[in-house]
Amino acid sequence: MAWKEVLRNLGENRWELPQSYKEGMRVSGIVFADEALLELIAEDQCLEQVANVAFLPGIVGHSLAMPDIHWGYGFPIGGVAATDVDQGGVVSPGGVGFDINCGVRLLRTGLTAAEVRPQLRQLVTTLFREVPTGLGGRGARLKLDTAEIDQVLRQGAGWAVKQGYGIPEDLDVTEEGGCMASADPDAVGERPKTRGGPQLGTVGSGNHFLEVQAVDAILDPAAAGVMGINQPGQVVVLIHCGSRGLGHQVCTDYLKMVEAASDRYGIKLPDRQLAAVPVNSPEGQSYLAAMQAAANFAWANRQCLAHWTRLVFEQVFGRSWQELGMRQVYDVSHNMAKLEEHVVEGRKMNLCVHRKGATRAFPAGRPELPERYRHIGQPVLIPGDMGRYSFLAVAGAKALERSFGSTCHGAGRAKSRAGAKKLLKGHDLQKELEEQGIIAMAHSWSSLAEEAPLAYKDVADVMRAADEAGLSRPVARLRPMGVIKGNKVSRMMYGRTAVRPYADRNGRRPSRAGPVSGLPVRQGFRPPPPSLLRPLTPVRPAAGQRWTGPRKSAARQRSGRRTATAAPAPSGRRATVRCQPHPAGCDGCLLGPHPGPATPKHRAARALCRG
Amino acid sequence: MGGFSILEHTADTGVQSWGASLEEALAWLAKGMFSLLADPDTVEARQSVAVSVSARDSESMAVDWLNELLYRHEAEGFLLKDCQVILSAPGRLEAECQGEFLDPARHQILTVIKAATYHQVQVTAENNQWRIQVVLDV
Repeated sequence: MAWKEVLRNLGENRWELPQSYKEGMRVSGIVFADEALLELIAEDQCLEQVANVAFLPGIVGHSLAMPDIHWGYGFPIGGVAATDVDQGGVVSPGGVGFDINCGVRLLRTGLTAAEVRPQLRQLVTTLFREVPTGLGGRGARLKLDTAEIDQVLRQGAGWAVKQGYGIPEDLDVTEEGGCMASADPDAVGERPKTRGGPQLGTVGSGNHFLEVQAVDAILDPAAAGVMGINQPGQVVVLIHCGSRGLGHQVCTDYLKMVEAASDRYGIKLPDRQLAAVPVNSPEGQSYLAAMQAAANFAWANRQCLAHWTRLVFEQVFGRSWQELGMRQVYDVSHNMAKLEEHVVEGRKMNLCVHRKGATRAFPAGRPELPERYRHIGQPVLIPGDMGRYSFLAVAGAKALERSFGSTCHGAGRAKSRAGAKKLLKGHDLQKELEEQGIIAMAHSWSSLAEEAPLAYKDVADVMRAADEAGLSRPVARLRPMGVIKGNKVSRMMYGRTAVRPYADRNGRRPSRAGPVSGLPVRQGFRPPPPSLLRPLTPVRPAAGQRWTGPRKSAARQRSGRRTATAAPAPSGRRATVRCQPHPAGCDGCLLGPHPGPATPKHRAARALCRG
Repeated sequence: MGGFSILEHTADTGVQSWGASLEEALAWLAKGMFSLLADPDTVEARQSVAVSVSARDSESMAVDWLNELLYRHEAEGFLLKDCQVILSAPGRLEAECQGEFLDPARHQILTVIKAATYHQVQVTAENNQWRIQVVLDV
């Protein structure tokens, strides 16, 4: 195996990817895995991505890969990288990913599997129907206006608690108290709010889920006791979701901005998806403020879902959720960049720690931990696939020195979605899971098949590797009983018919046909002048292949909306189009002469003109 | 003649498209992405929507074009059936998209796409054939 020739065994499940592996790496890489996992890891290109992350300016320590690493875009999933903020260290939106603050929350109950089993079908059906779209009768769907969305972005889970979705104790056992204090809703811009606002209180699709589980084995009774996990058979609820469309759009918008800005900072990286800017730059600060706001949205989302879960339990079991003992164990984030203080080679440093598909795991004693867990270390939630098990773990003693206090976040995919579906063709998955005592519900066969157990690595292998590396140790193993995958599609979530576009404080709404709105600008940041914009050219144009000026589509010609087009570029030269002065109000734009005043669309076109 | 195909990736999915011009390849790219969102046979061309995108090079254009459509899809419920793309100026794309708005009674959303990524994005032109490849985060 070629990778074994490249990686150097450091012992205790640590493998070094030397700095010499690729020219330009600023530090070496370290993969936490055993040999069996490494065989799987080496099958795709994620080790190459570990090497690429090592190019980030200001990176300290190593480019790290958790045991569940798999191929992502830019960063590998399961990648951790810390940069020195005071030495020009960068922040990379791609190092957080699109699903900002995707994470997991665990609720315990005082119920046992034997008590739940007779009503399991009713429970799962009710959860499936009620939770992801808001609890019809009682909770009412969330319909938020502008100001309320900003409150969510500012206050995170605290906003939901204020609305009655939960209790203050929930915040105490949520990473960061469920709120990043320096979040700035204005940095988010209007598009993420329009896209994601209506999705608050929804699970989302893909690998997001809500699972009813039973404690299968207690591996560390002392730590389990502190977390309120007392006996095998105890029923718990695990919720996995993120910041939905709002986070996706924040990442999309900032990636575009950062991708353009990184050139100006002279940052060259092997993958454009890694694009980064210094943390201490206007763009870096703006991104962090927006990312934190999206993180708050995710915490509010999990808070709502967790509370609605409690209400469904009340409905099904006929007792209040307090009587049912439904307390929150913990809530962790696994897609985030955080400013943290760490000691590296004996020196205190302010770091920007990117965890992409990796969980923060702070050992006992760290001041960030809630008092009740400070003596055992941070609880870590590691979901596995829906057929086998998940783990409740606790941060390992060596996590801080070895991985900036980080560990794995799940099982990690072993098969692509299409690959899983191909293998499962003809299988009645729901029935097969039911034979194992698991009731699974999804809106389509394919969304269930994509997440089938065989598509994932065995999370027990990942857990063992993380344990042996000293990153986190298992406390209890949890077995699924009821699984809910994804959302019912409602008009509510897809705007338009039910939801008006988000309006900003001045009552302005995004224009339906308008150009991409500008991102908010902080500290005097200005977008690059048009002269910095490169013209549209292919990567490897064949000889004689040139962009030959604008074309008129049949539809446009018919509609007569355009009366003229710009002249085609002279052959053999790079295509540029000159603005033409126009007497009738428009002061010359790329769309050619037309009646009426210049519209924003035309002004935007003009801004890009190189003439 | 243009077309598209869906690429496999362990955690994500990709779309590859081709056409006689960059515009045609971009149009097929959009159709490829929407084939992942909903069954194209259930979508009808009932309405027309204008979309415009600015980008600094052709790879960014491919990514931004898909991201703009994804935004329209999630913010407004738009499902694309067909589109005509014009590169009206350097770094400027104008498109007319035909399709309709989501009707849960008739459309099933097959997957939620978080975004189009810059990872391994490729725009190439060989033998009068343009090819685009974009990896999507699903």
